[in-house]
Amino acid sequence: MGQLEIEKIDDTTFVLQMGPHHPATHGVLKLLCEFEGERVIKIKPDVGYLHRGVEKLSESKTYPGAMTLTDRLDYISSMTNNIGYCLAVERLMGIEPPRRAKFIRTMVAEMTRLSSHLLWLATHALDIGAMTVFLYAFREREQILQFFEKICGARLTVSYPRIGGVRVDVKKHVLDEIYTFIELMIKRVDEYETLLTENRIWIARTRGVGVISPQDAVLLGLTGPVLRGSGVYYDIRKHMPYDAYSEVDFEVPLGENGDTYDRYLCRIREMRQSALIVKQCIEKMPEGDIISDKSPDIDLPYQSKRKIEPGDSLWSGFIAFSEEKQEIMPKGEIYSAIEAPKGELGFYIVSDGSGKPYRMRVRAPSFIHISAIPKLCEGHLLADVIAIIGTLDIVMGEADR
Amino acid sequence: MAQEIERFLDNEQFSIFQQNNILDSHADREKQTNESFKIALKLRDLFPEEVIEINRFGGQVSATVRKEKIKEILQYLKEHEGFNHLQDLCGVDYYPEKPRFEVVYNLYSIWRRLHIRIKAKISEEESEIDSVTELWSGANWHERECFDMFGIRFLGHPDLRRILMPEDWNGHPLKKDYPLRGKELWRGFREIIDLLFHNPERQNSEEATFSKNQRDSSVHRALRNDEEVNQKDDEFARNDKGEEI
Repeated sequence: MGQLEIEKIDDTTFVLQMGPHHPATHGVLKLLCEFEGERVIKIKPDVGYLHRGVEKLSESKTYPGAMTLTDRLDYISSMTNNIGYCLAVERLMGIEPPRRAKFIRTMVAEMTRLSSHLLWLATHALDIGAMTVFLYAFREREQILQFFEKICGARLTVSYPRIGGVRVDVKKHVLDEIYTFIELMIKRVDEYETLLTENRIWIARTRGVGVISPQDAVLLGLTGPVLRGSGVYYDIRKHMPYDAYSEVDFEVPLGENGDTYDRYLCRIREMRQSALIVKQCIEKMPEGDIISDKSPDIDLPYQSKRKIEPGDSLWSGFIAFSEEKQEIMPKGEIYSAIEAPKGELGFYIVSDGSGKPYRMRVRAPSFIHISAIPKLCEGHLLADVIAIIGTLDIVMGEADR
Repeated sequence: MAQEIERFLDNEQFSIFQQNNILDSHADREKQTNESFKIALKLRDLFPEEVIEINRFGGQVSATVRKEKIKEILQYLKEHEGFNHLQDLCGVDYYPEKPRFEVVYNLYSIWRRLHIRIKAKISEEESEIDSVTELWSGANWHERECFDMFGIRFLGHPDLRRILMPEDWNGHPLKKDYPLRGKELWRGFREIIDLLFHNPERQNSEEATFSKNQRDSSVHRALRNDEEVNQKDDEFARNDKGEEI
């Protein structure tokens, strides 16, 4: 437990400082809460403890070099961060990855969503007091991380997608293993539901807690499952389809009341849909190249023996890193968003034509979700604040950048 | 069209709940871009003095505007064109161009599925712009971050403080003339170092013994180097005004 400082203002109200080191804040988040009895009057989130200056650092890196920085944004779903960044640069350059790469990316993105939602479910349930789910969820998450290791050699900070494709191909037997696991996974989601969905304690702790109306949710800029829990149909996979999402069939689960329980149900249903997408991706996976010829990435394992000369399709990429001043990228700016497990992850990239991004802005969903905590916690009890932090599914690495 | 949109917007349950068909083919995207472009042209007709430039790049439309009527422009887009979702708000520094800064608003209409970008030019001498927190409450933290990183002041913002950097930080890190490796160790950090290494009262305490053991470690050396650099702090503070470093 972190140190709690209690300061009394008068007989009825007092101020409680929760965090930055508190296990239920999911990172180094500080909350300054003012209570009347046990009810929240005012709450002030304080962020910035994990600020590493990703946006500033990326200005000094080349386009492929800046990608490793995006791994560290939302460190439990780095695959989607990489894809979001690659997609933004691809749209800037006007290149398109081959079809097989698109399907591989969609598959790993949905596996990341599964692992991220599993971690959310585990910690959210643990915060509210359901210990068992934690152990079950981590069992499956471990398997997904092992698949990542088999695909690309890394478990968390993967850096697997590349601008214009992916780094290495997925072996046939790995795909088979994933397929077997996914069929099991759908059954496992039912298992989690037997523990929580109709559990009286769970319902008492989550229903009616942190209610937000659809109009407020849109104006606050909430995205992802938090917005869909209020019943707003906004999913970037459907609204602005990227990769292979237009070729797979899936539903977007919506909530009704916009409370913690509905957001829980939304994410649980999303896990089922993610599993179905992974299944479809493996079924429909075409053969072919995994990286575009125009990719600026030159250090590819299977292409490394190739000699790069002027006129080669890789030459332009080579120039981008060797000579800074060359005008190699198109001049302009692009905003590209993807549906990360936490919500809308946007990259706004300004290019001045050189091989380095002039400005890279990360629109992080967690940052906006934390700013909604005061609105969500109004009039709730201290114990509900923990439930609300859990339901927002925040990661501080992404919020502070 | 406008009436139709207003009718939609009057209805509380407007079609953010509708599940439309997917728009994905190239022709559909082209159509969306064209529609956004039409909106931008309409904006220029309505605010001929304000809109400087309309750009089309990578399937996205952006309009560059003067900062004076930014709130009216965004209010028009939100209430009459249905751009209800403020995707992102950020600053860009085009040093040494003039006007130097740009505040970028990425707007999206959830029910029309359109995107438009509004860029407001801001000069360094008058780095102020109207806040849009009244239109989108979610803009609050975006604007605080923009102030923190670029020093742009948002007029009418309810709580304009630094958000990511410490409150007593000197300078605005994302400016182009701000060095990548700072010359300064944060004051709060320095206080901790002084307490550990230079406080005579604590010489025999546990931390002091620990620090003696650590004196040769690389971490300690790194800290010492930073302290030497600190002597140039005053110089740096002067340069923060935008002069060369």
